[in-house]
Amino acid sequence: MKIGTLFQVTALLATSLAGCSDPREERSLEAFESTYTPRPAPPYLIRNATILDGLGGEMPGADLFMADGRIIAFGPGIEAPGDAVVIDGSGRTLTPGIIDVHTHYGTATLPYAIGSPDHWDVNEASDPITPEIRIETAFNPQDPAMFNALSGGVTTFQILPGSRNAIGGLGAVMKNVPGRTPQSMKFPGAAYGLKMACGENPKAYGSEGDAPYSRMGVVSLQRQAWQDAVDYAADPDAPRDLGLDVLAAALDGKVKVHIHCYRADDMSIMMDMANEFGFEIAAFHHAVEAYKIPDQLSGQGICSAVWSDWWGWKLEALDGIPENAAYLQASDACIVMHSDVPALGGRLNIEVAKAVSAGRDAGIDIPLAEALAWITSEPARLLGIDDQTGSIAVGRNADLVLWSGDPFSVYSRADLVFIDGALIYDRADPARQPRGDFMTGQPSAKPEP
Amino acid sequence: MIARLLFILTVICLGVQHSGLAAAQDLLIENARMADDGEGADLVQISVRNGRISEIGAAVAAPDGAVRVDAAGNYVTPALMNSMTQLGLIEIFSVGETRDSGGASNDLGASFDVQYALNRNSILLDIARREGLGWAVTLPDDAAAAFAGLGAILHLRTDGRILHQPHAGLVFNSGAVTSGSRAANWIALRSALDAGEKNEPPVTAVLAGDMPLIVKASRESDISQALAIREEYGIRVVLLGGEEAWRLAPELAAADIPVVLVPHANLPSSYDMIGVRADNAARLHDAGVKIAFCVDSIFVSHNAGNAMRVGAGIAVAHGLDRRAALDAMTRNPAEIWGIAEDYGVLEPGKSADIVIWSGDPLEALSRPLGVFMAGQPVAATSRHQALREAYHPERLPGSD
Repeated sequence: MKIGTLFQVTALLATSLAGCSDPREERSLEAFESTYTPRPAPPYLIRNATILDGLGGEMPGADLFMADGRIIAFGPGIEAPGDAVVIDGSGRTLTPGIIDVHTHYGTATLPYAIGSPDHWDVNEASDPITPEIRIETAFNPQDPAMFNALSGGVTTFQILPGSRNAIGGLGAVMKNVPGRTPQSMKFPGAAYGLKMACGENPKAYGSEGDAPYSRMGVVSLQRQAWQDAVDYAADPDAPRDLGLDVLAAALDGKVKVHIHCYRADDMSIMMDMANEFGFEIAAFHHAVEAYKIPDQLSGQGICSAVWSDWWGWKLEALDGIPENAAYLQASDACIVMHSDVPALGGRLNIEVAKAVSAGRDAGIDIPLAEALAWITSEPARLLGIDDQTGSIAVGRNADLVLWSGDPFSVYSRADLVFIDGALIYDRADPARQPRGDFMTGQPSAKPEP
Repeated sequence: MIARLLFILTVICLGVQHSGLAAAQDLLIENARMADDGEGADLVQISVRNGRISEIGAAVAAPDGAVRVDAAGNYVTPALMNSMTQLGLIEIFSVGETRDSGGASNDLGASFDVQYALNRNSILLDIARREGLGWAVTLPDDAAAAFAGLGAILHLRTDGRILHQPHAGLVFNSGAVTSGSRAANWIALRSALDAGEKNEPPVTAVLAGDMPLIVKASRESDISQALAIREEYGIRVVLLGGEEAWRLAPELAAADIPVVLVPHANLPSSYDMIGVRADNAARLHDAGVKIAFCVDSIFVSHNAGNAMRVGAGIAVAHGLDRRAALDAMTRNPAEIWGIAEDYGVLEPGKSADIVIWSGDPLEALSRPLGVFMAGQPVAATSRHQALREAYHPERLPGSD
């Protein structure tokens, strides 16, 4: 909050003193700023765990000391001050907290209401081009789904608008620390993501007689929007346009572009569009056909955010194969394992295991310690927060999960989840198992009938 | 050892291809570890004659001319069974002309019967087989009317004769409706059961005990109604869904109502399942309820094998006995669906539907090394398999 206020004051000063301000400051995307503060916590020392650092490294019999929200030291035989809470990690595995780059938490809240839009704030389906909408303005922090994700080790997640619109608007990155407001969960300083979509979903406008009716219409609307943004960015005197602010920031590299795209041909067209107008694509989401063009994806440094094995529920997902992630890894392309739906958001570790298993069946043996990066360090890099989270390294935020065993075994559970060094979830302590207000006082959810 | 097994399987596949006919190839599966018995179990040999298991033991004579398959100490189980799919009725969920799972628009009610739509060339079938799925109940999924219609039992034989038995049961929808009241469906069910000589034939068959009434229900109140129907009419009832069934576990056990459920379900996805619990399966099993597994959502048919198998492992992580989890995909559905003479456990006389697993069959990291349906090896011919060969990173097509 303080930083935001200072920023506004600076912007005001610049305007009054110079008379003509830097247009980029006026066109800032800052709004609904983060009020997140880490929870107070004692220092913790975890003893004798197997550490998987999220970067491919594995260290058996290691200790880790965290204090003041950070990882202070880790390795064999770490000393800690006497006031540290000591946790026995024997037989257990310590990993970075899981990062999920594609969720609809708080906006497609559970329970889904059949036939009612009351619980659905995912798509602003009034226009196919809505870069100005912001997902955090719809975020309900009581969605039971995100608490389930917490119990599965998710410490950071991105919420994105849906795929109905060709350009859908701004997502937001959140800390999975229960809060009462969207702002109180917002990851301070994380870059915004812009959601775009290819293919069948944005085409759906056509059924209502509006453009776009085809993939051609989707792409032409997107190109026009980007051209408008190029013109806007070049004209400091143009009246402020909230949507063009977002696209101009994306052209400037300040907003990460996330594109919902299934088919390889769609992705290829998007890559050319990005080069035409000068923005970078951070990731193709869902990307079930990424395995057909891994060379192009790795060449352009674009991540594929994928499921392990979904396929076939829609036409553009027909060619999905479970080897997708493994094939991308074998081609040195960036992979991120995402959930999209709450049912996967609580077990992304198992989704990784399924994808690794499919790879092995095809003769591609990816070490599990490396595959862990798909849900830790790689999504952190994709979101631009890898200097803060997503790996176990000295100085990183202490976002950590202590698993009951091998995190890629179906039999393992997340025992403890730390976010910024505070114990937010404890499988052994009902008082540290937040479930959100919706689940409060529900007779059918009482543990005994 | 795995490489050796794969080599042998390849030889078998080639052999079958060259023979041209689906003549039963007898087998001797050696060095197999029965998954039911766990890690400490002795290795066994399994002989297969004419598509059926003929003998299991420490030392079994190979049938004349049998192909030997070395399981190399890996676990074997019966091929798995999923108790709620739309296999054979669906290709692409969003493409209406490839879906034949709902008959409501024809106003057929209880008489809608999926057996007439089964497509043995569905691309989903080979994928399911490769995931180790040998049997499936395929059910109508229309939720618009009280009765969705009649399901069928599939045996995913490699010769394409997949319809094992029509009339697996009559599906009745209870639960949330978007307008009106759920009470109306229960009244409609009672009226149908009370119609006497005017009964529709499927209802008569249910009343005669020839097939079960499959009640889709999640909320406790609807499960109570199912219990009442069971008591008043004495008909067989199978509960489908049952997210809140744990709340009535002793009553369900006493009424001998089995529950077909999603083993990993733990989210209140609808207002009918606010009481969903990850240990639902464990609690039901511990109370003596017979459970069988299925999956839902996008997984329901397209990932009918793998998603169910991994979900079963997750149920074990939430307290379900490991053997009970295996039973819920083999022995239990065989009993619930009345096919235990042919399937459910590895023993002489049963159809030789056998999977050799690379590890613990409940682990996500395990996968089938060999799959046999009625003694015939499942070849690597699925559409997935063809795509994965075409785009293997070592032989990517040239840039174009």
